Amino acid sequence: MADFVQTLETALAVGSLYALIALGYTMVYGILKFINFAHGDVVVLGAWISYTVAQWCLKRLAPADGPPLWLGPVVLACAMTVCGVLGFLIERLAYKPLRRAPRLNVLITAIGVSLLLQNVGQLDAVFGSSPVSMPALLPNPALVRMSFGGPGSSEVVIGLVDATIFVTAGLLMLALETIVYRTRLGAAMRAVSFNAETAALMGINANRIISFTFVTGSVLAAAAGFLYAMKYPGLNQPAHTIWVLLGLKAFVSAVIGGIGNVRGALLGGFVIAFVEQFGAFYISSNYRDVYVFALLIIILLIRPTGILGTPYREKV
Amino acid sequence: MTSGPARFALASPENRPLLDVQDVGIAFGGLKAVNGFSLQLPERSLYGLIGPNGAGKTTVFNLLTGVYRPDRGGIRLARHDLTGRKPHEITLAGVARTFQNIRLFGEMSVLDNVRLAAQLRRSVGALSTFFRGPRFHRCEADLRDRALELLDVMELRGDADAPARSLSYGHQRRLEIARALATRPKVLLLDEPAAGMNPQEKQSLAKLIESLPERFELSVLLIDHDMGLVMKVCRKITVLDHGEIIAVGPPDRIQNDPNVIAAYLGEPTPDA
Amino acid sequence: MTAAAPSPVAPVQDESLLRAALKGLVVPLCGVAFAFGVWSLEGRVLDAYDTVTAMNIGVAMMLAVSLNIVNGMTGQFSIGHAGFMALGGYTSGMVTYYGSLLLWGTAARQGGPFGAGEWLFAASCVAGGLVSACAGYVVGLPSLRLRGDYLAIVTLGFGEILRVLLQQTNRVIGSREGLAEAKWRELIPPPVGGAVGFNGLPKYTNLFWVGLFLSLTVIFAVRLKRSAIGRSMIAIREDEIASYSVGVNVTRVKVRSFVIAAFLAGVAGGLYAHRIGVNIEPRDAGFQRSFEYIIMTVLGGKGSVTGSMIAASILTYLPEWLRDFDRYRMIIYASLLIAMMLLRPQGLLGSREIWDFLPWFRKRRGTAR
Repeated sequence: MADFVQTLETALAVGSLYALIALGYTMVYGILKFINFAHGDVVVLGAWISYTVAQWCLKRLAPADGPPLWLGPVVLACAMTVCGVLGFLIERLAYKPLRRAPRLNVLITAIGVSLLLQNVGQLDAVFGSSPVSMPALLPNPALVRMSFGGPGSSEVVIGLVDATIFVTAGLLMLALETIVYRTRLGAAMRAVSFNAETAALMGINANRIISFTFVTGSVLAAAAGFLYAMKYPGLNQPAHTIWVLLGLKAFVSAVIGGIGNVRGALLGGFVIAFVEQFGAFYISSNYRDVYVFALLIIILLIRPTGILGTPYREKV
Repeated sequence: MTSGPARFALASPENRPLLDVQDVGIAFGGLKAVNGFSLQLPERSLYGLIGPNGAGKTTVFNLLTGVYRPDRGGIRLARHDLTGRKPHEITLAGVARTFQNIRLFGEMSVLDNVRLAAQLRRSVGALSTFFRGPRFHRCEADLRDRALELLDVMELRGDADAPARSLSYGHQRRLEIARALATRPKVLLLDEPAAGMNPQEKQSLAKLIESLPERFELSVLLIDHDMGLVMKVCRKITVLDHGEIIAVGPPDRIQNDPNVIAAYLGEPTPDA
Repeated sequence: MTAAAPSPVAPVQDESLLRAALKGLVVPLCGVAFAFGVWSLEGRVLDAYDTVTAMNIGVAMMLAVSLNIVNGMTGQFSIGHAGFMALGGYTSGMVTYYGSLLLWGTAARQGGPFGAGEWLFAASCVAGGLVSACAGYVVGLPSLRLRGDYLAIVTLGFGEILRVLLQQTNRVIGSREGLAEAKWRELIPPPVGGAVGFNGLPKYTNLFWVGLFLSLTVIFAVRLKRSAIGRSMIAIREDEIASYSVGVNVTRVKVRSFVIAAFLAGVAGGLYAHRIGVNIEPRDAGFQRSFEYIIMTVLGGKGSVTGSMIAASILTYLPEWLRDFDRYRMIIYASLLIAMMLLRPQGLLGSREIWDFLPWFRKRRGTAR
């Protein structure tokens, strides 16, 4: 029972990270109808920038009794800013010239951008090609202890870090939900997503909306990267397979939930995390990636547009 | 073309239509795009399908060619039941079409566009493709001859080696007809073949369409917005509006039908 | 009707048919001659190092050309090609390794050129191709319902699943006795070395076999492109709806293109696994390797066989040519990919072949074929 609850807790934490990243994939797909493969690499960048900034601040401050509490939010803000700018630049330089090109070409470009970010990040002049350890910006006291059964049996601990992940991810997703469904800007986004040309005729500046979408997605990705680094302080080098798999799983979440659908991304993130964590715990952790991809293939075969996606009919 | 009309006539009695569409309908969401559509297309006939924009004409074509599966009703071609069959099976059974918004294989040569359609009932395996034995060559030569023949009919032979997308608009429309004919159809569906053509081109197109039934032993179902063309070419016309049939008859009756005039000019308001 | 328009095309006669059919056999024989030709260079013009490079180029060419059948001709997007290659490689490795153990009691090389060992190896490559083709059939089936990016993700998933499964395989069994006494737990999952890769394969791959399989692959791809099957593939790439409207069985053709490409990739995998100096590893099934082949096909041009070959040889040779290249390899690949898409999305040769640029050849091909 304790194992079950502990796995559940991990799945929720990992799921909110996946969902946060999946939102970026899904928003771009909703508007431009292509898979922004480079999105996963923005997450990596977010994590590494968090590390770099945190490291630099700690060196300067050299606090005696652990990092001050305000450092975490500052690092997060830095990572979000840098990634937001980067997201803007990627869209402007790589994708905007291809607005009218076949979708496959944009997909290939996205793969190119992804490989470029990974490998430039790995240069010695940038982040280097060896793993580092993220300094703990937060103390991690146990907030909740649950014990099942008598004394001496294992107990479930929910730490501050996991709680921060829930809260931050939840707040950011709530903010996005508000923007998309409650503001004029969100209405414009949905209009562009529905039909970019008509939206442009209605006086919506589609290019600005697209830029905004990329910036928002990248900011969320940066937050996910920061939170990921808090939870798993051992940061691998930018081109490491583990990062690619993180991006892919988030992407799979978006697809499973129904790509282009904001709520689908949330649902997909948790579904994937549950399958992965429970599969890893109860079957075998060696095959955790297999569960995810197998689930993806099964869902795509049963419902090609994902759980919450709407079927699409091609016009003849 | 050897599966001649004589044999065919034996199989189907005179009174039985070649293409028999019974009460076909489809709805998209709440919108009934086509409702209760019926059509009897005799052999070697020229039939028109007209109606204002959005009346559901192209949807009828999509239903007949299996792009959409009808919610209800049935479609028969001679003895074959085509209802709910896959598009390529319907083409194989003998229904070919052109598209309103031209859909050619742009990168392929004009010849290959037609040759691809001509290869419908002739298959060559992957191994034969590798070894290129006599059978492969005979098959390819036949296909080429047949394709060139059709290009001659459509006066496109000079462009045989050009990529299809490099043709002018009118030529592209003609190539679509050649491609459809190459599948040896019994029924040919033409979706606005005259759109974007100039008067001379339209005239020669009209002549061409009129010659098709005898020359290729098929029936034509024609959609076009050029009333002159439809009235001139077709012996019988069905008029659609809002997905429903509002009139059926020969051109002169259709021209004077009050329902048709109302559909095209708009309903007179009661106050007016 | 034919007389109406004057045309340079003469009616096809039976005699020319016979000649054409003969040519059908002569060209593959030229392929065999080519294989002997490159093999004879081994040790004379090419030293051991060059030989390995040449073999790598040949294998990369096979993979790029075969991937181009799916991605270039049929217009689908597979990111799992390395998976097919690895599957073929591991299968072929199992056949030669355990076949050798059972037949001769040792996995070492048997016989000289064209000895028993080499024939076993050649057969194993074909076996690898067949197993890979079966996988291609299974992976191609979803193309029935999925298009574009979704299909891409499924193929990516295939490669990744395969990579993880290969990592969990058992360690290689070293002797005939070991094989005889092995419990089923050591045989399932198959004993192909797990995460460290398949060690101890006899190194049969040489320039003859690479030349042979490469030339057959290329001849097949070129002939496929100019055949009924190839036309239906290209039609699907150009317009799927128009394809089925002229009676192309879109599903069947798509699956077929996956099967053909997987078969050829599997054969190439057999050559890959038996190269000198390197083992086949689970990593070889992953998408990063697949990306390399995608870059080659994109660079070469969609559906251009010779374009893929040129791109494959350039990208395989570059590391030899640029010092420190390995460090910047992926950066250069990535920049190339982006630059191509922005500046020349149709690739180096577009959908044309290198001989299409020769005027006399273009005239001869014309409507005549």
